[in-house]
Amino acid sequence: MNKKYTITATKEQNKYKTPKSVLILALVVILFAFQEIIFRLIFPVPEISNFNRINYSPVFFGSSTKELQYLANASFIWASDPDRAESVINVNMYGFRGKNFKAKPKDGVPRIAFLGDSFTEGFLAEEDESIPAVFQKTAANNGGEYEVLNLGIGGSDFSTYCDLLRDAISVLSPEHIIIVLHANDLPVGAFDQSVFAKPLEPKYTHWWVPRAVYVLKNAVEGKPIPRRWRSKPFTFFAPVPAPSNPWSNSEKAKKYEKFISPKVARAMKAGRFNPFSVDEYTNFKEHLKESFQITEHLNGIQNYAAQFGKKVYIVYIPSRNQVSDYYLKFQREFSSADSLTTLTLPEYQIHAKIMSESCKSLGIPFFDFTAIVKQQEDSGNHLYWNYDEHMKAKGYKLLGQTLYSWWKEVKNSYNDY
Amino acid sequence: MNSKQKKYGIAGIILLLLVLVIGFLLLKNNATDKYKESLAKYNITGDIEIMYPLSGSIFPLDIASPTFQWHDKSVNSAQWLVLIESAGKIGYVSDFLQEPVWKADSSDWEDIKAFSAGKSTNINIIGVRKDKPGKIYSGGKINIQISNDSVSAPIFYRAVPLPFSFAVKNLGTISWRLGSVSSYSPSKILLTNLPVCGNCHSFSADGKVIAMDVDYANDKGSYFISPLRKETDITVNKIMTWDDYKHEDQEFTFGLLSQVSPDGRYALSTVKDRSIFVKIENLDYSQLFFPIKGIIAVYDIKNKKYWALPGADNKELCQSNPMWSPDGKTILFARAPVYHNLEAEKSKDAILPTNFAVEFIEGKRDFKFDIYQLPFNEGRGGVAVPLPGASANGMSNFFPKYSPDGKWIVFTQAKNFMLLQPDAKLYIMPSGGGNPRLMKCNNVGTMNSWHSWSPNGKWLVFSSKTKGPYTRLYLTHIDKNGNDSPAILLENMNVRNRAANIPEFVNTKFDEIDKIVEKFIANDNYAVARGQEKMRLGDKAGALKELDTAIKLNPKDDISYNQRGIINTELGRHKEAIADFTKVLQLKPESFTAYHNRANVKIQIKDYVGAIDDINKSLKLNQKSAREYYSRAEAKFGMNDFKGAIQDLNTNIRFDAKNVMAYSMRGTAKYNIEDYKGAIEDFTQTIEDNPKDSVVYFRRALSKMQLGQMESALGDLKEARKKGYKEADDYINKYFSGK
Repeated sequence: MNKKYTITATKEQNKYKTPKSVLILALVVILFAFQEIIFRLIFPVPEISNFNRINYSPVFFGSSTKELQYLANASFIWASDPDRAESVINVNMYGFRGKNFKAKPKDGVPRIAFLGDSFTEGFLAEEDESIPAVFQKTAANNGGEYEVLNLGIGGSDFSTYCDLLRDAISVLSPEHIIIVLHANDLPVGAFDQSVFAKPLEPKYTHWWVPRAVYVLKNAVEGKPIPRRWRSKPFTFFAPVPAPSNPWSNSEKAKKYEKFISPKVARAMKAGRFNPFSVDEYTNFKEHLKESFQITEHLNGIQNYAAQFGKKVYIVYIPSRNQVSDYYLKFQREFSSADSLTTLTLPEYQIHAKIMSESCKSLGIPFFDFTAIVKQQEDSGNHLYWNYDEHMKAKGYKLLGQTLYSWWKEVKNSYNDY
Repeated sequence: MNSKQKKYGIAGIILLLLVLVIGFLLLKNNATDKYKESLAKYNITGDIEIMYPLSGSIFPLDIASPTFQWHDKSVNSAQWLVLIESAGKIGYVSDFLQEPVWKADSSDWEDIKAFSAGKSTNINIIGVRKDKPGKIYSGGKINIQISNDSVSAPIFYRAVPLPFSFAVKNLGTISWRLGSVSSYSPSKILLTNLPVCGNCHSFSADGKVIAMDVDYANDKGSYFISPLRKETDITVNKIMTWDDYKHEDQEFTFGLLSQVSPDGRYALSTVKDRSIFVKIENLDYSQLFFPIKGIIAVYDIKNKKYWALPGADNKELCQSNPMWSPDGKTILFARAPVYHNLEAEKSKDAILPTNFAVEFIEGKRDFKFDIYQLPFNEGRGGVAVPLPGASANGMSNFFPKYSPDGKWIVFTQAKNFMLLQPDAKLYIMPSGGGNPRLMKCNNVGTMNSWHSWSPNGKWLVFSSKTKGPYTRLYLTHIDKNGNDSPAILLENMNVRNRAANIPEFVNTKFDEIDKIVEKFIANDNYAVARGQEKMRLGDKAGALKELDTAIKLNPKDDISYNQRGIINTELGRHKEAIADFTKVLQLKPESFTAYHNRANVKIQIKDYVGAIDDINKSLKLNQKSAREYYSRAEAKFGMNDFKGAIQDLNTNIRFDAKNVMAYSMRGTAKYNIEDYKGAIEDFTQTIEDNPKDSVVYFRRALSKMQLGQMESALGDLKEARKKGYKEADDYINKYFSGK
């Protein structure tokens, strides 16, 4: 071969040759980016790391302590085998039913937060059948664009709502807050004004922090690490044997078996019927007659919300026995009382009246569902499940639709110039 | 693409964007320019009535943007535009508005202020349709002014739910707030959840002292005086009670309409007062409250001394509602002839049954106040003279307030009474008296009352009802000639379903005050005080509970045990009472009171030996205690040691010659040792001091019978019978044949 045709690199050309170290670095970067993508795909993080349902829920979930600590992208089951009904509650990164939401509301789309218990969360109904979901659909059908957050927490009570309202306002900035009280949320204890003293200071997760760091940090600290996909749902009540299920206590179980029907007992033991609903009737009967002071609580809520320019509304859902005697025959199957008498008498309806009077004086819009629900029950349209205390989807639907019609009128009362 | 081409490309894109932006702006301006032109050309008015603000309103330079509201009669207007015109130029055009309401955002409002402050400004509102640009369907115009004068001080006020009866039941819902006219946020809550009533508050002229009615332990006379700090605690040591003024004369004081002096050295209040204070079933005016008797007392804050203010201390007059001149040298107060209502005066409650005020409510009885002027003279007072223009005018005149420069007085006038009157209006007049002018700021057909001058004297805040039953706060500008302007609403101080009342300017900055904290409830002293108050009201069971709380909070406080022992004694719980007094003695072995009280309980349960033992110990601690001798005499009498009892009673009478009971007991003891003559002497003495005592007549009759003075004895028996002693009848029948 003729030498004159040999091409040799000039010094200039050699200058642009990629050094090995750079290539290695590039490879590391690519690998890092790849793992980051994989981690981000597998392990999502909430925008606010210290806001989660579990900080408000007084209820022990399932049997695993991890489940107790944190609920993010998880699922649990609320079932009522005697009713042959089951609902799978899928919760978002913050532990609330429904899709994930941003901390900041979208511009021009008013945010409405629903606070309440399992009736609000929509136990024994599909996600889009819950009261907030029906409310949002009804609004949309009427040309109203709202972002509705379902912050219902099964098993919670009035003190939970105060805590959650405090933090939800500071963290999520809803313009309207609708507190849905179910009959078993009342009466309330003494008001402690320090409840509203220290709202949650949200800790935002930074997008630039490598996800692996987040995962490792949580792993080291023993905190659960939410995954993109939901794990297998667990039952709200752990099956026997589990310390949280009263049927695990042999003495109690022996007592229960004397009066609880085998069908109900079986479901309770399996965590597929609320084991704490034993003697629910008797406990309720006493509670419904109890008078209470709620004005100071409501005043505290109102003052706190007003500081942020937020509007509060309160609604009351009666328990099934307050509106109908139809359910008593089913409740006998898990009641030790010899006779279950009617709770539809006026003496058992005082709670809504107390609420109504206080709300009226303070200027908090209040709606009592008792009359509407009773009307349906009287006409033979039973809105609640026979055994489980919750409503059927048709009950939630009625409430959600009625609530929207009422709310769109009363919200204008806040536009008081 | 070479670099040259690149450059041309970039320049082309920039040019295109520029053209688009300019085009957009031109188009936009074109739309508004058309309206501007039309407005300049035709001066369009009509069809739109601007409801708020009123024409002529003056806004302070530091106010947040107000909410303009209007009503459009035209059915053609689909949107509205607000055009603001100052010095002949339209300096601001709003976006298209979908509702007949407009509130500029803070940055627009600052721009508006920048071009219009200090100038006459027209607010033009036109009804338009977006789909028909340039065409105006309706219009309305008002003239306002954004003053160069700022308010520069926050307003302290109270927000109360209605009706009054609800507020009384739910005291925790009342809040005390601080509002700033320049803030876009709601007023801040300084104090709420106070479990007792809190009323009139006032501040020293420099804003460094706060004084406020706080019904500590439900003592209506209690008054909180404290340096005002960023966080001010309401503690027991900062609370005095007007009821301490001549407490010994048994005439109760509620302490009404108190005011701290401009220098924070003194406070004035109505004392020995009684008011018509009743609930009314009317949400708008749910109480009737005005003093019917009282004098004005001075409290020297530094030296903790009280005295009546000469010139305002006539018990035949009702003197109340004192107000200080800015230099603290003159007092204005409201005066009326006293109205005696014996039932009301006897009542221990501040709030009376509504039937006490029927005559007033039904308009059958007038009650009118005149404003009087009085030199303070460092508390020496002087002669009160009626303030010309605010007295003897057939109306009720009250709430006089001097302007900070002392030139003007603004006062309230109504047909009758004092607080919360539906016809109350504000008047201004020179401070030396003169012809009062009805102020322009009065909202028509409703109450205009409690007012306060801004520290710079340019503004006056007052409360009024214009929209529903809840009072709101309004502001008016006052120029150097005392002319005021239509009222402007302090929107951010509205509190939903709460009446905003008692507004007072505080001469400080909004950020200088954050909180007022109640720190007296979780305190054993508070529980003891509440216990005492409940005892005063006759609620012994309630008092006992309070004392239980006090002891729980502080189990080492002898005062609580002693107090509880007294209540237990009154409730007949002797065992518990003795245990309480014994506990006092464990905590404080030298307690004269505990020995004395325990002895009295022992006498009640007939443990005379124990009682004498306790009294001997108490006498060691105080040999001159007349009541100890009396108690020991009681014990000795119980043990039939009549001579011993007489001996102790002699000592008692030597120390306390007016003790009627001692004469009576000694008379009985003498009778029992057959010293009838001596008995008659003692009974006679008793009858002289207490002629209504039927038993003593009866006993004297028996003594006389023992001495054979039958006729005189019959006279005593008849007197005893007449006075209700039925047993006397038996004696008359038996020994005097029923004469």
